[in-house]
Amino acid sequence: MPLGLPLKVTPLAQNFYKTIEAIPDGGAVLWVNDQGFATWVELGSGEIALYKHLFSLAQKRGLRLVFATTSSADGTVLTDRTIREEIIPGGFTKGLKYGENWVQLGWLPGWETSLRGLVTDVRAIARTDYFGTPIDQIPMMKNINSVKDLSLLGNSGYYVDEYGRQWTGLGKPWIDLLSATTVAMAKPWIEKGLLTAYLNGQRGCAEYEAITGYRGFATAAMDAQSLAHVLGILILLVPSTLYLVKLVTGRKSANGDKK
Amino acid sequence: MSASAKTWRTLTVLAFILPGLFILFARYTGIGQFMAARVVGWPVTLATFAIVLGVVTFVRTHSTLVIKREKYWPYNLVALLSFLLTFGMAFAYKPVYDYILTNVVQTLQIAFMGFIGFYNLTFFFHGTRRRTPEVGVLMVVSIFVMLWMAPIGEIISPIFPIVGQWLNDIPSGGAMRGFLICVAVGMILQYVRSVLGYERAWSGGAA
Repeated sequence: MPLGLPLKVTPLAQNFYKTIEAIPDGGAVLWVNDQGFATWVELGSGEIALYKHLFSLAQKRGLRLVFATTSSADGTVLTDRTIREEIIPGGFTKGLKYGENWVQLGWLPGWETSLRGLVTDVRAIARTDYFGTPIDQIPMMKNINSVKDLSLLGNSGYYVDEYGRQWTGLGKPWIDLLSATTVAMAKPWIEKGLLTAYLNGQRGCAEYEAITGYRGFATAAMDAQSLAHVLGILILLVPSTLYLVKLVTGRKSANGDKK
Repeated sequence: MSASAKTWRTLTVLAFILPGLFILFARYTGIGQFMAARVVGWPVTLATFAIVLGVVTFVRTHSTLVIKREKYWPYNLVALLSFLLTFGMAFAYKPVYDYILTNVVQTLQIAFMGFIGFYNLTFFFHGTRRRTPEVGVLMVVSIFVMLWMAPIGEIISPIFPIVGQWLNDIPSGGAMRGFLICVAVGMILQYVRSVLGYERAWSGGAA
């Protein structure tokens, strides 16, 4: 049952949006999708809105997009499916060409090692793209080999420390689409300015959808989240309240018996 | 230990120590960074072989259990056939592979993760049966954080997002900082122990 509760957009989501908008014309973005199928329920809608945002900037300002996965193979399947089922049919690739405006490197197993390789020497870890084309034959990748050729680093998934260890200190902004369960791990990084911006779980995705206008499942799920959290609070409060009432009435009747 | 075993152990330790020291040297001096980047690429190749090894082990283990008709062998057969079907379709006919991922794998993973939400709630419920101050604090903090994350919290009272944000920023952020420092120190110590030969489990010796 839709409640239609208003959603306040927080500075966190606004910073995330502004960081992407601040990419210079023609800049290259590296996006690592390390989500699993299970995390997609929480973060998938935000990822779709992000891809729509990036591709629309690619159309307007010539951004170049590099997609990769380092942790598990799920991410590369989800990236490919999003592009095939949401981005291309939605017209976000009109005027763009694969290999010139975006490239999918696929799954590069090794996690932190691959993350480091993506910013030091892409060719050392990715000989072909997701479709088997040798990387040297991809026009866009001729000018992209390390972090000095990139304007923005970003990732989505459960974790933040691994990306911070490999991507900080390189002089490039880094953004994260993070699950709410591990968002506390982002605090030390963002307070030191090492992590530029992050989205806080499904709530953050809904806020980002509101800012970009690409509303999706995350916005629809906010009402369900509100009701589920209220249910959780009732499960905590009701038994405790009943216990306190029993305790107080038990003491009163014990005092009454003593008199 | 025989001479050949000692030599083998020494070579293994050197293969572990030298690339790590070289990468650290390149990072802090800037010398040899191109080579260090190439060295970082080697584990990606090794990870690929590890995946192949994992697949072979999986197929061999389940096949053996099925052939020997061990207890619960039908489940081993289901696991084996599911794997072979998905693996085969990935190369033979992609639409079926996509169907399996979207309608079976993803659905099962979502169902599994959905269970975790209710598990956490029942976990809290059982936890509140112990009447201690710590449990009281946990309950209050949980309520504020839950109402911070959900839009309904702002509607009930503007205090919930403020307190919830503070709880996430200050106590939780401080604890995470301490956790990160401990992890970093632990990793350094683990590397030093491995270099000095105190950690041998990774090379096949006793831990």
